[in-house]
Amino acid sequence: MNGISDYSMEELLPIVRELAEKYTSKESSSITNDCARTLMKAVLYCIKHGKENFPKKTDEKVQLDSKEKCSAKTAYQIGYRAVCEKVEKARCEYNQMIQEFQSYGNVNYDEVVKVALPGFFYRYNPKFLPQDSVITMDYPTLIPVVGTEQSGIDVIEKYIHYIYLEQKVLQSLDSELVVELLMHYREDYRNHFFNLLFIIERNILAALLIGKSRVMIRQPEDDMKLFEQLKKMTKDQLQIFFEKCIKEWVINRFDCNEELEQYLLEDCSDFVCALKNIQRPELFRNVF
Amino acid sequence: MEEKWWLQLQNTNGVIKEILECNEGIERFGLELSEEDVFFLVEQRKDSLQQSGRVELGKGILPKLIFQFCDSPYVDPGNFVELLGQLQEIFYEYKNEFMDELSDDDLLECMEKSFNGVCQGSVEYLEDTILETFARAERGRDEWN
Repeated sequence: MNGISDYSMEELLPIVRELAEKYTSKESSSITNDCARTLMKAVLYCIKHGKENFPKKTDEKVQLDSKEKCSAKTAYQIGYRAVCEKVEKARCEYNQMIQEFQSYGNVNYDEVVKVALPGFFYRYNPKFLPQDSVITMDYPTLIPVVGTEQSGIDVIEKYIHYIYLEQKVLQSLDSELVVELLMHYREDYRNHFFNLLFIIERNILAALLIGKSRVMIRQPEDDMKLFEQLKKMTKDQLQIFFEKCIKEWVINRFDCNEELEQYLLEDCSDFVCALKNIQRPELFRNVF
Repeated sequence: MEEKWWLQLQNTNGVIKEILECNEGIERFGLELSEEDVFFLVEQRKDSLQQSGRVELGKGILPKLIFQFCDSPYVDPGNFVELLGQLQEIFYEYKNEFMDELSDDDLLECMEKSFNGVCQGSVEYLEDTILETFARAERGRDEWN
């Protein structure tokens, strides 16, 4: 396998020079050092991307995987094409997701999906700045994408996919119920920057824990029942119970979608800890 | 990654030869660059680039600068080399000040017209007043947009 370390500066510099000429449209004989650094990062991003993400077992992939080292320029070109393909793939998933998208009145969620993400596709520059994610992704997904090592289209593709998974779950429920549950958590939920799914997921899990077959707005007696139930269970027991519920839920409602299962499991341990720390039933409201 | 690797982007091979070849075109204005002059200018180019935080990709700006200013009424064999050195430094400085919005040719043309016109051959006036005013206007336009 060819890694980035396989390429020396002498091999990479001609690619950067060529890219710089395209960047200035040959109208400028010099660029700033910062610009040179950025272009080098673009080259390295594409090479790395091609190596890790080339989706199909094509001749190009074989070339990258072969024991004989392929030239830095070939690796860059393959990587660049892979980046462009990924952008198209992400765009397709976004287009599919946006048709049915519901923000449930949350302004941040609405703006991120309807304004910021199209802005990304408009502004993303795979040639000169593929490493730039362009947008800040203010809507937090259950599995965080911001602050990870990934950047550029890698992170955006993941972000769109997570939002797509969330929408699948949220749309499987009655939208009025979703709004009611969110209102119950925070009346001004529309103006807050939090993940909507975790509130819904926690309500569903809590309902299952107290033996309710349908999720609905919790009453004080529900909270009391939940409080009593929690006293009887250890953290591990709770964790196992929730994991089992999520698995069954995904099997029954979402065709055993493993990615979705992993996504929903992400909040499980946090929820268990939060529940076990509750001292009085009235405090459940702070958790979900 | 190596520190200041981008300096390797600079292709200094053949630069001296290319600048010396400019003599053919400037002879008719009574100007000539000796090898010593060219070495001096190439050294100064390195300093100017370093100072302005830029890196040159190809043959650089000197040949263009030589031809742009060789027919100036304010140039004579006595001040040509020194003037080129100063103009080269100003050029890189203002590439940055114009935030790379101006192409090499446009900046050179602007420098030449101002130098031969309103500046009446004063490099200081060109640098501190004319180009500064243009650059400020350009930045203002950008902010406004």
